[in-house]
Amino acid sequence: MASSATASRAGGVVLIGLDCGTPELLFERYADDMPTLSGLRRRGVWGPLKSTQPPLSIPAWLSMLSGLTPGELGVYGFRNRVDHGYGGLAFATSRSVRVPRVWDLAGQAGRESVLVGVPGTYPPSAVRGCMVSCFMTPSTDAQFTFPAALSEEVQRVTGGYTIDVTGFRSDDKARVAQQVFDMTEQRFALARHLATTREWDFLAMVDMGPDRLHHGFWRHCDPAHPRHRPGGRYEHVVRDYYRALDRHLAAFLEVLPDTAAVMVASDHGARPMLGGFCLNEWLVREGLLRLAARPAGPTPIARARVDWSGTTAWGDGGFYGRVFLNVEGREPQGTVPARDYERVRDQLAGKLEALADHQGRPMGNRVLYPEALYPEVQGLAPDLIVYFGGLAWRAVGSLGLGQGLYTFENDTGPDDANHSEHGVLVAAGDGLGGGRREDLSIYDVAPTLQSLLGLGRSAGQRGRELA
Amino acid sequence: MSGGGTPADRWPQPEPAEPVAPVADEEAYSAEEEDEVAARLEALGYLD
Repeated sequence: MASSATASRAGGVVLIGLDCGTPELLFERYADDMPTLSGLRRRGVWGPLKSTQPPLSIPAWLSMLSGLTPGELGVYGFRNRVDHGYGGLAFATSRSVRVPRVWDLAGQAGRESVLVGVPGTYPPSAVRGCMVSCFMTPSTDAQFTFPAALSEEVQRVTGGYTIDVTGFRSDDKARVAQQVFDMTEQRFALARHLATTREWDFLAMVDMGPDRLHHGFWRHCDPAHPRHRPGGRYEHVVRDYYRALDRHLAAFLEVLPDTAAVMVASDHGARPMLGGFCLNEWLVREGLLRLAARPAGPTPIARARVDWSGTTAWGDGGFYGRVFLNVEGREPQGTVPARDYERVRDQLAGKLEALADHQGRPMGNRVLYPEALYPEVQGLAPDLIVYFGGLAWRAVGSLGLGQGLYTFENDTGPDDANHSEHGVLVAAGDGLGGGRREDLSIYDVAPTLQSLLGLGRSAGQRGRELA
Repeated sequence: MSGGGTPADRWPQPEPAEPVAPVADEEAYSAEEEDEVAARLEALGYLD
């Protein structure tokens, strides 16, 4: 190895995040293509990692590294309601997080951290150590490092830092795939550089590559996907990616102290996506959402002309559905009397659960009530959380697609993969062993990292120490 | 790492407050930056 890590304590604690790392791929289909990860599994504890509800990157990574639920954090998606108006949603950023994460606790105890690409770190905040912010960074024109002066070094080491894949909907799939391969190589190269040039006790890096590849190419690698065509140009792109990722992992582990505790974790997994269900179109048909004018083309709900005085409920889409009731005394033009709230919500939940798919078969929708999911419900949670087909279908919030209730190819998002409720955890190091477990939770990660760092639990933290 | 830079660059910061609800943070992004992030996430399927 060219250089060795400068962990300031014996070993150090390392978290390698693989956004959307999927147990069926990493532990089964491509296990033989990933000898480094498989080697970590043989000497550690590992298994599928139960994600948050919803299994979505921003709430999941925030929960993983704080040990609190999305309800306690008040973060239910990339964007969240900030008031009861109809003005849409605002992004959750690092400033939305008012609880300490592992590196905050480490810093308070005098420990140094190196952070690269951890979701929920834009804008970058002060940390004892250094930070390169996440994929929510608008561009490298913005301050994306702490301290700010680190950005020049990052740009030099990486040859131009890639925040995320761009042009994802492009027909040039080869270019998209190449971006993912390059971005992953760059993340690991930067992590190696910082690991070997900084003093650190805790090092966390997150690579978004697996998520981007799954959303864009899942159909090509999974014979179970309804639009899989064997023998296609991209049939092996996912396998080849994981082979490359494993080589980057091996090169990274090589520069770490032999005594480092290493954890590889993902925030959620992936599964084939069958299509999209047009949530707001359905609410219109049910007479629960009234439009002042039909949109001429695909239009996000936030830009649609809604007659709120005649609306009972509306939804927001993405990889899962969120439904909001229009409640008297809560929303500006609420129509649902507060005394009828539970009855109307239950009726709507029942209708959503009874929906059929495009072939008349039950979709198998799951409808969740926030107060039943979380020990606390902070912020403005949706009134209902909906997993269409158990996340086999995405939720389409836009109106005016002109495709009925079901869509299979659209302009608003790729259709290859949706998220699944289990990610992965592989942890190896002193006190971390025991092989495969089936009971691992995303809430176990923070207390385990803290235990490895010699830190106590923080207030209200969920999960167990695995070390 | 050496210190310096803007006040936001300096460690330590005040200890985090008790958990509270997220608030609108218009300072995190300019309007153009927010559009840029939204467009990227929309293309990825996260927003719809």
